[in-house]
Amino acid sequence: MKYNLLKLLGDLQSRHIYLDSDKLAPFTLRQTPPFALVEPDTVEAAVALLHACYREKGVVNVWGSGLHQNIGGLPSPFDIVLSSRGLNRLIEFSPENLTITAQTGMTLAELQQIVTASKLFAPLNPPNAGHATLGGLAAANSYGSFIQGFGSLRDFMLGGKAILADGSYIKFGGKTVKNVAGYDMCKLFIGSMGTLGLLTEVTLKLWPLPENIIVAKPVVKNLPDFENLAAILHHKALPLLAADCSFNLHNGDIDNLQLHYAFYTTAALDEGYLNYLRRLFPADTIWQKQGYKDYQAEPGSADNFFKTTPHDLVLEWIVPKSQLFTIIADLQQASNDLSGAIEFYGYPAAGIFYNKLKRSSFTEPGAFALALDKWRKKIHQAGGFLQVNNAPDDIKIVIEMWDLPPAVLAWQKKIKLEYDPTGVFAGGRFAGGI
Amino acid sequence: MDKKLIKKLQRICGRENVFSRSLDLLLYSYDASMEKGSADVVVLPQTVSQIQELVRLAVAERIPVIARGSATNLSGGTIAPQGGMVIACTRMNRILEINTEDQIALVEPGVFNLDLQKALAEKGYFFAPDPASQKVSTLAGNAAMNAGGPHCLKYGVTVNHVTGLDFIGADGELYSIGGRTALTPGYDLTGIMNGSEGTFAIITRLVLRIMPLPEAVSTMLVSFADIDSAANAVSAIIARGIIPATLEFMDNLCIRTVVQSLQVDYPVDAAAVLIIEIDGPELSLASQNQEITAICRQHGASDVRLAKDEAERTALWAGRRGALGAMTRLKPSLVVFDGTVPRNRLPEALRTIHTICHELNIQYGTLLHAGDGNIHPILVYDERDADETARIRTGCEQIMKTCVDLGGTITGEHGVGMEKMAAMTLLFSPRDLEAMRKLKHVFDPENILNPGKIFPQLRVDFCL
Ligand SMILES: Cc1cc2nc3c(=O)[nH]c(=O)nc-3n(C[C@H](O)[C@H](O)[C@H](O)COP(=O)(O)OP(=O)(O)OC[C@H]3O[C@@H](n4cnc5c(N)ncnc54)[C@H](O)[C@@H]3O)c2cc1C
Repeated sequence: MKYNLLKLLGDLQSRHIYLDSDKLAPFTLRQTPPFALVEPDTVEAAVALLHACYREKGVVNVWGSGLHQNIGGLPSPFDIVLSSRGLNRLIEFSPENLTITAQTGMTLAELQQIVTASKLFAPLNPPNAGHATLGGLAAANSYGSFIQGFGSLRDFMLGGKAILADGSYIKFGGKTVKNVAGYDMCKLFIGSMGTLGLLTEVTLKLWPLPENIIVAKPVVKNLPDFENLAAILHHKALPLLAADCSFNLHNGDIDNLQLHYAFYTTAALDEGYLNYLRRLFPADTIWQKQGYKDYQAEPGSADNFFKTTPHDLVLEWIVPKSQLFTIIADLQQASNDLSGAIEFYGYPAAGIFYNKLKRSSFTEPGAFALALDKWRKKIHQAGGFLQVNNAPDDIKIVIEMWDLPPAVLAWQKKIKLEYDPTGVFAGGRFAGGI
Repeated sequence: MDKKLIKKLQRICGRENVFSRSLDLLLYSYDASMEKGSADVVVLPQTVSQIQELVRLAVAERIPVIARGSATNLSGGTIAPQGGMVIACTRMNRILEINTEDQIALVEPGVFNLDLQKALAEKGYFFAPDPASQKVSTLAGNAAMNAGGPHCLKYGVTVNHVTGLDFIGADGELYSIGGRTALTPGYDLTGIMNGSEGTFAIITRLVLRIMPLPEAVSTMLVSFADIDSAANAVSAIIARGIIPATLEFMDNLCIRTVVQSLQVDYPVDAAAVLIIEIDGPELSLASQNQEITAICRQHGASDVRLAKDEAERTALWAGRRGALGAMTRLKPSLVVFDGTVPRNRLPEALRTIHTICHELNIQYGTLLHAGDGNIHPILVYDERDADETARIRTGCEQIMKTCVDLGGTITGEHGVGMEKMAAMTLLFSPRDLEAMRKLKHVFDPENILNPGKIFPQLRVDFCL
């Protein structure tokens, strides 16, 4: 196998193939470094590599910034890390049309820098993801609190290009918001975790950069207070940019409940909006007006929450909005069984929450597996799902990280088999071991 | 069609829901496009299990299945080019649940878009996709075409508002995908199913995202003495960072026709009008209106008329919503062309379309969802005139090519169906198309569902 691969890489004669262990060490997964790192800087080189892998049964793991490599199950063995960082060019920025097309090795921060200069933005703010690549973000369908105001990449990726497992280079979608020429292949690639192809280019829809932000930090002492406020805001069409909520749960008690709402507005309107919003929030809410730049520059508590160690367990659950507080109450009860605290972070207007727990809260991996089963049942009953994003390897072995109904998983397997029958794109991490 | 088979279908759906006489079939042999083609039988199921049985029977007998809503599609999507069984879902039209706490509506496939809107409005909510056909087009049809509409400029198209689906697959099994949550894990099957034009599955239930109605709405009609100025004003408004809820355009022929037909109060001597609607908290509207008015004036607007109340607003919209119907007064047939160009290429696109139609001696008017760069030239003709019909087809081909040349696409919201199959090669390489075909193969390996659509030369494995 390695002989063939060596030959294959030799045939490619690319300047961007690295075989020395120093270079390979950062790409070690499950204690095994890859056989080679390839960082093509042209699409043609990437096509040649994938085409050769298809022929020689080489397995590649697509790598952007590496931010998401720990997400999901244990990766199956792979031979080559295919880094997208060399493919990082701006293809077209069209401020008049509110679109940008860039290669997927470009980072989110680089993209935002380009577009904010023209007073536009891509409403995408996954925590700690400034240095994440566009390809990685699309593959993981990453999102942050802006999902509540603007949706996820699923809602604003308009088109792109990709190299499939057999090396065929395809384009899909386009550069206009309305486009129904053929199947919406964007949807296939978003969230596919690099299992179907190497995304090389994406076109994103942009929005006018909010001129001003009004931040509301309501002082809520307990969950019922929060629930009341959420109920008031729920039925209103508000210019919501983001809502963040965090608290800790220890032995059934909630502490340090923090709420942070951000609304977008214009300089001309912010006084009016402020008065309008004041009527909806509790009297002792702390208000702040700031420009978008300052708002962005403030270190977010989401960034802190998502800075995880290999010993942390991070759970993500999404429930229908009406079920949010019922589920929090259920988890509150369940926390009595745990020795450590559970940290909560969430986007309440979308029904999305994350929990962070220490591995040490469980003596045995099996104990966590049992607790997870119990929580999943409750969340399924509520019409939601619960997946484990991060976990130490000993836990990953005993649980299903993803949460897909069997029939959906079966479709997913069929799709994978159709697009990547020989398994050129490394598997293991995604649902059902895909 | 074989009598025994008809009997079986009657047993599944009841005699009164199965049609196979030639007159009945004729009524189902067309949609809102230029295409025609008769099925061998039309069935109108009333339950999901009936659809399941129908599909199972079709698979066993190797009969093509064409899902159908109200057949308002403008691309030949519900035509049966190789015969087969039309499954029309219009009798499954119950709104099963409106849940404002979860902000979702659960509906059967045949519910009309406007019926849902009315039910939602009573609860202070709305469903954002609002195709101009909303009075009669079905929600499954909207999803299967990924329909747009005026309000999609601000709120996105149908796929952005469908969170889950139930469907009967080509294997006759019932599947449930997505759900009531904002996102679901795994490949985005719900997203893929939207816009698949009935070629993957029969949709039997939809979970739709609904939104609270904006506190206030303001609508204005802006007149321009020339088309370029109107088109440039569109780009200028968006460039100023304002995303109106709608930004619609009508040219002079459309204006005159709706005035004659619907007696609406539009300026008949204007070269073009824009219907601009903004929504949001009451307090935000006045300053936005001022800003938009100023931009329009800078671009040569001759008149800006703001609707003072709901009655005036409805009257302003009546002209736009009735425009297609009104255009049928000009000649017996019409084609609503649908394509998209990047917004800043609109003036160029409109000039080229003018040249094309002028050279081919085609009478046409233009509607645009201008904010999205979505163009709808309406080409009127007499179907009985073979020469004129041929010129219309040539005109459409040339306009499609123009859209592609300007960096746009051959269809923004009406779909490919049969009419634009060949034009897919203007946009996509054989490899691109092969990648799409793989998806078709996953969902419908035997090519039983709506065969002969979307792909330039999709192999038809069987017909009756
Ligand atoms: C006057 C007029 C105005 C229009 N305005 C707009 C507009 O503003 N925006 C826009 O996007 N479109 C517009 N259209 C086009 C059309 O109305 C839309 O495409 C609409 O979504 C079609 O809905 P329908 O119920 O008529 O579906 P049909 O025409 O019956 O079917 C459309 C497609 O959906 C499939 N389908 C139907 N039901 C199902 C099902 N249950 N499961 C799977 N597939 C199914 C069919 O096979 C077909 O491919 C307009 C049409 C007219 C005539």
